[in-house]
Amino acid sequence: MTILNYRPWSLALAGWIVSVAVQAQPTIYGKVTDTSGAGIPDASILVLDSAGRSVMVFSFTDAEGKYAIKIQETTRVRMTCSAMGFAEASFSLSLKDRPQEHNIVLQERPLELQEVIVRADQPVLQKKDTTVFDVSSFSDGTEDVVEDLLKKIPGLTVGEDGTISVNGKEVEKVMIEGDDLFDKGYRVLTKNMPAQPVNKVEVLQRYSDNRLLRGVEESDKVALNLTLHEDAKSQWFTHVNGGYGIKERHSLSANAFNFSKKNKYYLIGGGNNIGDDATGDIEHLFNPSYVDDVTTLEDKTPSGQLIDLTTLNLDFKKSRTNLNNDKLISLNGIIRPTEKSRLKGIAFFNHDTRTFRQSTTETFNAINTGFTNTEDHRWNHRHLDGFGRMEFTHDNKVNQVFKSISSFQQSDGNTENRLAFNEADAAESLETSRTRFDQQLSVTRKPAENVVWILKGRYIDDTQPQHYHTDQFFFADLFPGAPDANAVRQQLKRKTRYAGAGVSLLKRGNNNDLLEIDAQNEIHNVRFLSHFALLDDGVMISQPGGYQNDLHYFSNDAHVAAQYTKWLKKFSLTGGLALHALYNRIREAENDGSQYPLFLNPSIGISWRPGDHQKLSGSYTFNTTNAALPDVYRGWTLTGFRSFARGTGTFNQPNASTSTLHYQNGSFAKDFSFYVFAFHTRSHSFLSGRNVITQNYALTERLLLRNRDMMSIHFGADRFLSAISSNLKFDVSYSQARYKNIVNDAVRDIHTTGTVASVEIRSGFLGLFNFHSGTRWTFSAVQSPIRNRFFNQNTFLDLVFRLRQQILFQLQFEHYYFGSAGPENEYVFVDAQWRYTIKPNKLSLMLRANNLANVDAFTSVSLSDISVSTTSYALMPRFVLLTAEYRF
Amino acid sequence: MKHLPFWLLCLLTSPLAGQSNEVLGKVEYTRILHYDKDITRKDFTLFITSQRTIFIEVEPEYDSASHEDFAFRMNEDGELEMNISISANSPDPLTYETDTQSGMLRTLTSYFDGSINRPVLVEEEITTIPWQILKETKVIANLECQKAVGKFRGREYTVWFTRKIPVRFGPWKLQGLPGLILEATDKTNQVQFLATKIEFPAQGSPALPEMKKNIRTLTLKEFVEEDSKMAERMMSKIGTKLPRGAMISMTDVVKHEIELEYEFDQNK
Repeated sequence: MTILNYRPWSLALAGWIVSVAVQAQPTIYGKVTDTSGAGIPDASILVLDSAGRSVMVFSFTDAEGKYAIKIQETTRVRMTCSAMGFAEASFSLSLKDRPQEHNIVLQERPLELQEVIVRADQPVLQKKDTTVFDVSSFSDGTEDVVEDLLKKIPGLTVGEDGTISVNGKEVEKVMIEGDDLFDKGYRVLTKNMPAQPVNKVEVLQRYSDNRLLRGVEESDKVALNLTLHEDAKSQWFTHVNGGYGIKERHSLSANAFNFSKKNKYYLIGGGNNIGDDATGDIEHLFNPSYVDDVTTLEDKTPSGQLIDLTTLNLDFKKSRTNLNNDKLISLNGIIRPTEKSRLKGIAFFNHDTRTFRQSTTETFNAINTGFTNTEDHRWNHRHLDGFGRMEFTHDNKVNQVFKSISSFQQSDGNTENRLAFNEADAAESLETSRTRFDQQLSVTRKPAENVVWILKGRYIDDTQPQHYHTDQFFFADLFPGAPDANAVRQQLKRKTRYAGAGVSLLKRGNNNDLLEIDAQNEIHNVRFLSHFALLDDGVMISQPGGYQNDLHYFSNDAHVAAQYTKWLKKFSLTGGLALHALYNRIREAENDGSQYPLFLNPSIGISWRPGDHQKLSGSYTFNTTNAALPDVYRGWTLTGFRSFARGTGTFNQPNASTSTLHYQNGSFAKDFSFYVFAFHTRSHSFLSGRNVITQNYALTERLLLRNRDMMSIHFGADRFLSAISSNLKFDVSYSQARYKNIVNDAVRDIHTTGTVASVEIRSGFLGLFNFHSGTRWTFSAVQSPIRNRFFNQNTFLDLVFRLRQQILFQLQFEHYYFGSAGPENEYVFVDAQWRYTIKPNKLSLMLRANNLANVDAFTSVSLSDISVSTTSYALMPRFVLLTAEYRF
Repeated sequence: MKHLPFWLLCLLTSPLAGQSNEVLGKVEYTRILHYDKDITRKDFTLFITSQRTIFIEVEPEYDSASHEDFAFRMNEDGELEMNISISANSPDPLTYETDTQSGMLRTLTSYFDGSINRPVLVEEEITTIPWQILKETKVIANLECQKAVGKFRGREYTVWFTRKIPVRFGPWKLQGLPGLILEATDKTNQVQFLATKIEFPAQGSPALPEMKKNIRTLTLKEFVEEDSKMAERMMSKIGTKLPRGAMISMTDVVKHEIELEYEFDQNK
């Protein structure tokens, strides 16, 4: 199809010259005019086959109405000429080897169409908050895994790391036939599941886990649902990521999946000894978060253990101190016994051994005492976890959903510690176990489009026994009546039973206003036993009075809460009120007391958006809480090798007022932005401590005191420097607290302050190299009334090189400086990573080198109102690991 | 100059044949963009005169400020991840003018100068799209339509045009077929134009919307260069504001444009 500039003579000449070799291309030319002879511009000229069916060539007339068309072959054709406002002209002609002139005169005829409305058919179906994509319209058959398919679905963005977002918002989950096994960890699914069985992709906007809450509950969540072909066959697919390195460092994770329309199975296995928390990746499977979930009653049972020997609290990556050997296996499945019901099961086992090493030098500075203790710990910790969870859902497909969740957990842990305390050696051991059963039931019903009510119940039974033993006796001063004691033992048992039932109502008003009403009754019933014994060569010689507990704690909390949110253009106001009516009872051998406290918890919040990039919000709450078990028991309980603690022995309802203020100006796109956040809490009454501190032991007793003030203010600013394509970030925060406690009978006013300032610069170069560097300075001070201060500094530099799309090289440096940690107060860590993607989503290699400077110990300083401690930790030594990731 | 009397005659005898602003017909289209950021649907109206069309956005709800959206999540390694989306709106309705007499196509659009959108007029020559007309036909709104395929700026379009409305125009920059284009879909399904209402003649003798004048005017090439520089600068700028360990991938800037490539890029 060619349109020529019309030069008949040259064409004719050229045609004649080469006619021996090539058959000339016939040309038709001419002029299109109206009946008055005026040329018609933009008229179309079509050359069709003789039957007038297929268009061979077409052209338009120029401004004067002239046209010229070159045609590939000589044949009989049909010509058609049409222009807006004229009747179409059509005639047949035989093409010859030479140019032919055909002038065309069009008769005027205005175009009269009736107004027509077109209804187009589309491969996309838009329901209210759901968009359904028919996969066959978007796929071209080359998609390997689900992720490849999703990349082709309009409206979805799949990030480089597999993150899926809709409208810039990341999806909550990717379900299959409405079933979810992965929660936020959906990338395991989308990067591994074959695309071929997928039939439709549904984008669910304003998503709520409970179908009936959609449109009523406040939600801006997005989720995806994949439906499968009717005849999709179940097939297994697997994904393996394995690595091995020097000093037998290893890391392995394997996933296997099988999905069909009715049933879904997912198997995970793995282990590592490179400091990664193997259960971290899948924690959401057995412990899904129910934050803001109105269909469940919050789990208020205590989760921590009374004696915990191995908790480290560090200022840097946990993986550096986690000298571990983790193994885990998990099996997950969903089956659908009937059309309307679903059964989801999870079984999980984890075995873990960890070693920790820590030495501490702690200097105590209280008013009437002062001494320094040294401790050296070498822990060996083993634990085994078993967990099972069964979820049953019945959805009547109209307006009612019933849900039952049952879970069972059994954990056993064992810690052995070689302890050296001020040069005295001791062997410490702790056996811990936990048996927990949790049953939840809920019925959600939606009587009208904007109203939902929920009936819910929960029962928890949690038993945690602990056995502690140490073969040293540090308490001669405390127990002068037992001069022969040379070891101690403590047996603890805490059995918590919780039962709760409640009803919630949510009503969405016209103006997006939301009313929430909640009525609940909750019962906590706790039995707490602690038996502390002094031993002489393994034989119990005494169970000192005042160091034993046998307590029944019972609390019934009936409460009603209402909250209302009102929207006025750029302004919203939220007000809430909760009324609690309690019955508390403590029962012990020679103590039986009860009370009926009643309290109100009001809250108010405002938010204002004066402009696009400005937001101001503030809130005030007054909150009264009922004291839980750790606050009430009266017998001293051993909590470490040299420390005891006890509660107040009575009921308490501490209360506090909290105010917050937040202002934000600017945004990421702006060159300059900043925010201010401030909060203040005044605890009108709070549980402080009465401490007795000696070199060999410490006793801490909870004590209800008045007035604790805590405040904190944060300021942050970002400034983008165009000249060097880099951003400068500045953050500073200040916090302070004032309260009282008692140490060795002296009432002390404690005043703590902390200032953290940080500066960072990060490049945004478009080339293969980028850097990010920053430093953070921390100043802390405690006045008690002896004043202690310290200063820490932490600086980092990250370098990233990206050579083509497949190769990424990353180098990280970290420098720590402790202003008051003595001579060994500086540390440098160097980590490197090299990743080579051979085939995306199929095979990639990674070389990881951690702690290249081989720093094997790390010393940090921390400050409390009674002591300054310097602690050294053993670190994960240097390792190099080569990892391959493969999917098949 | 020698054609002047002829032109006068033209105007007198046939107002349709001359450079007239009389709106002959009006067609409403829905533009559906499927790439990134949800499905966006936008309604346009095509005003057709004899040699000129205006394809203009209907009821734009615009302000010139940019909008941002943030989402945080914990990734599998327990690190905090942030998802940022930035969109900027144009201060004027997006307008395309196709003028076959001058052979020029003008777009009234905007460019993001880092904080707000500024209007700009972009000029280019009307492209001859190498359409291939196929035999397949279908009926859209009682009008027999014929299928044609053609490549234009990196996308392969399948269009349906009707010879019952014998103008060479269509939605957006798609034109050059012997009949009005009523439907256009690109091969990846990311871009779609669908006629929703067709009026011939236009009811109520509407006036042809005028293109905004006296604003910054760029050639298409100049505009594309400026625009892409801005987007890259923007991405890298955001990257510099992220916390440690958070990465932004510059190579991951997906171009969400109807036009994916330009004639002047192909020499590179």
